[in-house]
Amino acid sequence: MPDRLIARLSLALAAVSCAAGQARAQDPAGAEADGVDEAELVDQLQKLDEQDSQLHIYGFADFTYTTFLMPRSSKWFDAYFSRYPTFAVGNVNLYLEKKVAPRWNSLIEFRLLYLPNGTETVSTSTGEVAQMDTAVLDYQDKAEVLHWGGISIERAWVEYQAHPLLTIRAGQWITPYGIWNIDHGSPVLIGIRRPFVIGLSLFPKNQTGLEAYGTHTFGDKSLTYHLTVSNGRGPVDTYLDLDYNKGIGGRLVFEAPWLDEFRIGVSGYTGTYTRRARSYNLALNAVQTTNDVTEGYRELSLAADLKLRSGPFLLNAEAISNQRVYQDDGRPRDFQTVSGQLPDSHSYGTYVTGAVRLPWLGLMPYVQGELLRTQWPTVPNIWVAGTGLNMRASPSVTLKVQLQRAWVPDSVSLVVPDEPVTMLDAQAAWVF
Amino acid sequence: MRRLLATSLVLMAALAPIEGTARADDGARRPILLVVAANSPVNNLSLDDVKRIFGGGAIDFRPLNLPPGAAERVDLDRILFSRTPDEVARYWLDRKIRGQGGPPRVIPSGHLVARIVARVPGTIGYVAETALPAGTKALRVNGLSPADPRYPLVMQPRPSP
Repeated sequence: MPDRLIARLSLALAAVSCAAGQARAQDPAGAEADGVDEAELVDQLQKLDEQDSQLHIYGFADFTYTTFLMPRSSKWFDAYFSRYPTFAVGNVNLYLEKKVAPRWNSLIEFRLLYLPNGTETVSTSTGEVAQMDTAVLDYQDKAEVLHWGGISIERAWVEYQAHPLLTIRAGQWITPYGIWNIDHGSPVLIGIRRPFVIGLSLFPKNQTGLEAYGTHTFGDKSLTYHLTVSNGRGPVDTYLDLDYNKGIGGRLVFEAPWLDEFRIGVSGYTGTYTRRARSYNLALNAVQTTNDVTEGYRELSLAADLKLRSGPFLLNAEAISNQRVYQDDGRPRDFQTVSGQLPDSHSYGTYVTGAVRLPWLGLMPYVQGELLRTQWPTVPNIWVAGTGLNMRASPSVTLKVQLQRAWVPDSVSLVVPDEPVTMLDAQAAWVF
Repeated sequence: MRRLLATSLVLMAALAPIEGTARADDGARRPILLVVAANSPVNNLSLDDVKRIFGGGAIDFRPLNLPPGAAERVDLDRILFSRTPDEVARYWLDRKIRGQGGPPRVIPSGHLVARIVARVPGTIGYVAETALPAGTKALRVNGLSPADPRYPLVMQPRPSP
């Protein structure tokens, strides 16, 4: 009997202890019950402040193996591509991000390049291809040859978040259009090779000027706008505008939770490209200067993009168009055309990527189709079909393999072979 | 008898909540409370607002996150974004590469989140505790209080450890 009594008492004690604990948990004062001491709290508050004022450095890089699956005698190898399978570090992009003041953010992204080493230039007089060699002797060790490379500033901006409907960004920014150009980082992109319609820069890849953007939400849907004014395109558009016409652009994006993700966007850009040549001539004891337009055209770019996600299925599609009308005094010579001058052009194209995320190992097989139509008489059409496998080995590492076949039908160019190109790429891309 | 007493003591220790938190997962409904400073003018948010705030799309709140793997964070991400922890990690990395900003600041525990929210205006956090420190309040979501069975932010029942 005493044993049973003690057992009951013990269980009662346990129940009382548990109830007391729950009562403490529901104590509205809570300050003593949560076990947080003041020093820990102050430490966290300091860390929070430090995190806000910290310079965040991160980036991405990729490493690619490329081989062309064509007969070694293919004319493509003589005209364009290397016949030898190649390893390459393609992108090494660094980001510097900082919240410079409340509501003020800054982002600088630059790409480290091996270029200009190996850059090829064709002599218009002899047709000879010269390859640039940046080899120099390292001044720290005269016995060692060093190839110097370059840096490309991809973007450098500061922005002020005035209101959810208005953020103003100033500097050099990535043009807000489509899907690929905004994603642009190899770990984020599904495929390995840029579609021709993106690589051809029918829109400027980035611009220097002002961008205003904001989002209006209504229920579970949202409408985002971007308005841009910039130097437009030019030979040195990142810091010098060579005409009075600013490049104007805009983008509207509608998002809704239809399926799992539904996003549709339209973008536009218009601007004037101007290249000038300045010269100084001494005549009659005076210096005469000229600053003539050597190339100038007005352009209008339009684009639409669609992104759908439903469960494991993903669809990305973009269609882009670019019209160029040359000024009378700015039409460049073109030795490949009968007239000897570059004609006005209307280039347009599209790509569609369909993918399915499998439940194993982050695997995502995909297919991609591309079409590019130009008004260049030499290469009027390019068709590409491809398939690949994207594997998110971890959130920060993406492995990809891709097989593509491209056709250039109707080409009258003497240097574009009339046979398809088959490419196999494998890539490791990572965020650091 | 001593063995019984010892067993009872072990049972007491096991059942007693740690640091005053009701952690015993007895299948009871555990809402995830959205906490802001008590003097915040905001009392209610739509679920879409919450998605925007914790998805990086809002500038009028400063969201605080719990560490990756914290049950509250896993469940909130699942409810708001239908994403697994790995998918959420990818989502934030992808946003950073696009230049759209990184994830909310991580605070080690829900207790600290609540205490910070009480002190730093504009911050918002989430906790699964039933007790909130002085100076904070829990928000309604879609007009529903956390006590309402229709409140959308509720933790998934987990087997007791």
